[in-house]
Amino acid sequence: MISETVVELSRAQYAINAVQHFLFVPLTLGLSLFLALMESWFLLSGQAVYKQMTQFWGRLFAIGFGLSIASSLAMAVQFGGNWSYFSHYVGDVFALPLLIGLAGLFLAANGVGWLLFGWRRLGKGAHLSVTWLVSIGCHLSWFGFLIASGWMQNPVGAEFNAQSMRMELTDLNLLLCNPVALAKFVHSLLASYVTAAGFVLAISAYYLLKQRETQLAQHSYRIAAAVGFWAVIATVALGDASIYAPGTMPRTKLAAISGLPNDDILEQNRQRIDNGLRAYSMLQELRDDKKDASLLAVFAAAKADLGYALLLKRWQDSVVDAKPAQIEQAALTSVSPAAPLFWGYKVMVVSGVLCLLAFLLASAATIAGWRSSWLLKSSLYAWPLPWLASGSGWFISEFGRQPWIVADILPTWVGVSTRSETDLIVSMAAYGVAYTGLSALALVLIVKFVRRGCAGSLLLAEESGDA
Amino acid sequence: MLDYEILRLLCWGLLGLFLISFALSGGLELGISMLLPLLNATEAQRRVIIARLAPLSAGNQTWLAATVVVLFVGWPTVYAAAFASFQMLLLLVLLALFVRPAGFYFRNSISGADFLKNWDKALYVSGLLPAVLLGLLAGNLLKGFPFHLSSDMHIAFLGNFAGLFNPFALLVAATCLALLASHGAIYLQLHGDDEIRLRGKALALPAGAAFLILFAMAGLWITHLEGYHVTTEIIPDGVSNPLTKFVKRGDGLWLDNYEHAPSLWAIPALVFVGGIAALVLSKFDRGYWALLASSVTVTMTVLTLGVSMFPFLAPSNISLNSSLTIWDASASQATLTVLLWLAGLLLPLMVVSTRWLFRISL
Repeated sequence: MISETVVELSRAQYAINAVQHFLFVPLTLGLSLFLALMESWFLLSGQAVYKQMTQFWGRLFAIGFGLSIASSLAMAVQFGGNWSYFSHYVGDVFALPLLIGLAGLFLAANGVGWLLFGWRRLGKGAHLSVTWLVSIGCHLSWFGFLIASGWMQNPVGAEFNAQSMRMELTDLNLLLCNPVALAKFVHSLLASYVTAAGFVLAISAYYLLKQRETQLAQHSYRIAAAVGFWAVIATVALGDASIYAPGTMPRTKLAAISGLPNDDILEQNRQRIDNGLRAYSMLQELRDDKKDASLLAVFAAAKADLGYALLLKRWQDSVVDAKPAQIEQAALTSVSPAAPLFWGYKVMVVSGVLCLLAFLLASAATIAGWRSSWLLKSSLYAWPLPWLASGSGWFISEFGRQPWIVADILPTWVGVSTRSETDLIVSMAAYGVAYTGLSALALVLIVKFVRRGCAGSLLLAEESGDA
Repeated sequence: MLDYEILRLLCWGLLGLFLISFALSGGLELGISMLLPLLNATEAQRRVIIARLAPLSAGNQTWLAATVVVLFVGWPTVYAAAFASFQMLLLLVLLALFVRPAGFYFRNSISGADFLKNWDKALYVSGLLPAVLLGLLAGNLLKGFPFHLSSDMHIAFLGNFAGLFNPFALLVAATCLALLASHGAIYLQLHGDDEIRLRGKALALPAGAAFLILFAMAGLWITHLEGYHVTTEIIPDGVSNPLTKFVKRGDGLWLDNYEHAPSLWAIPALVFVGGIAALVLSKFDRGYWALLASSVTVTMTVLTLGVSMFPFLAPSNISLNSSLTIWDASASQATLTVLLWLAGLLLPLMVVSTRWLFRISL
């Protein structure tokens, strides 16, 4: 039997990793676009302040990027380490999009050094292309990771292979054009623009209130207010039209966020468990006789529900011997608890609306000519809102997937590595301490850079590397 | 669609090339970092070295990430078994690598002598630690590690962290350390200012000689180390199910491939040829050629590991038949086809851009 503690510890470690990932990745993704736009405008208009802006925000971008790479690497180690059965069971499909993500990461990681240190060594045009390449790389890697994560919600283009005991790719196009994944990609991309806009807006408002770096702050503030405003509207509109709409979203989740009962879904899942049990016992027979055509045909008809039989693994190792009470228990837990999803959705909507309000006020502040300090203060204190909105959005998506790690295919419970509890606790502690330290260092650096302003914060290679 | 057997071989080759590229790019960076405290460099000299490495650091790490992802795509079960077994070790590698790019970028943006000293120590450790640990990993791969596959492919892990520190694996770790140190030293001999050049030259000789001795010792040990061998007929285009074969273990079985194809002896031989050539060239101040020879040594060392173990990727020393090979633990034919295209396209692009970035940066 799989130990409950191991499952919970693995989930907790994944959650820590995901939170870190989610704090810095959207910020860097959004900022990369800001940098590319600012520097393009510098080349077009020739205004020196835009170069200053690119350099200043570029430094903050680099801090976030360092942490994003760290948390991406941690994810790459974690799948195999803590979720080895998951890695075996769906790796054939799940890992492919990660390769696309990696290509983007490579582009961005090689560009970022030159973005920071190449101002003197590269020509204007060359530097601008580097900035764009970094931004494209960030987007490409986000695309790859979201295709992978979207596949866990809506596993298309793959089929169970009884001989290798895992899911295998059948259709690459379906995997890459997965409607759920694409909708998630665009929605979360827009949300990351909002996050970056909120960040830029808050820091610019801080400078304006302190009356420092006024020119840089005013220009940045104006761009952030405009980009943020339109990005919020697009995020909400697209979310309503694609993600939180019937048809795209699993019915259980939709029922939960709208506070509707899900009795008919439970009934349907009971039947799927029954059917899954048939598939599971067939699988045992197939293991002895792999070539039997009639057996294969019956198995093929039932295998879509195989995952539902695995739900029983939580209570009964040999699932074919499951008692009716255990089957009922599995059916009842086959949908995620509704209350957290219901409230998560509310939080997301409310903070989304507040974001819109904040960007509206910010636009008003630019029109009012920076005189009203309360408008600026509202921009300063609005910084957590985008994180709250996208955080609750991620929560709905990830928590709403439970009890599945891959929807209808593999229960979370079954996906873990059967490692010892001490191992998990030690690794979680080591990792938690290290990453908290790193995040703290990043925050210290961000605060330090913001305090110093754009004149004081020279980086190492600009001081010595070009000499 | 290509033949399944050819696909598996080509993807195995790709995996090797990604690993070699990491050893050459990231390994060089690790080698230089671990030599930092031995250089007696002034603050200004340190700044120059670090400023050169800084723009490359994040890119070098993506080579390691690429190797991991190619393994995940191509051999998901191997990835799962190895990463769960070596989780603690890989976690330490990861923590060390966390420090590097950010450490490089921001080292000089915080002043204060004490702080800088600690910062440099962190950079030094983050160079030393991954080199030792990855060597340890290679040593344990050769020895086989304890895992068992059940009939539904659940992997049971039966080892512990302390078990990784066996004498043979420690020898391989020391070999890896010496290899990267000599590679880094030769680089410094080529690219430093006058003082650094001399220090680099002085360090290259002992590090390079130590590597050659350690490599020879590991080679001798392998003739008596228990290797693995598939005793049933191998079906190179069969379905991926590791539990359909029988595996035996015995002294010196890792030399099997060399006995069947004696031309393979060229690979470990080239390690020595390259290593000795690098030392001689370094002695006569031919830095560029020395670095080239040293790169050949690094490449051939990685190849020696791969060829000796072929077709095994992850042998199990507890449940021999659970061992994973490139034939029976790979991804499906469809996925390997996509992998070959994607990674085959990515690899030359990454090599060219890394080479170009090294040239303009270093």
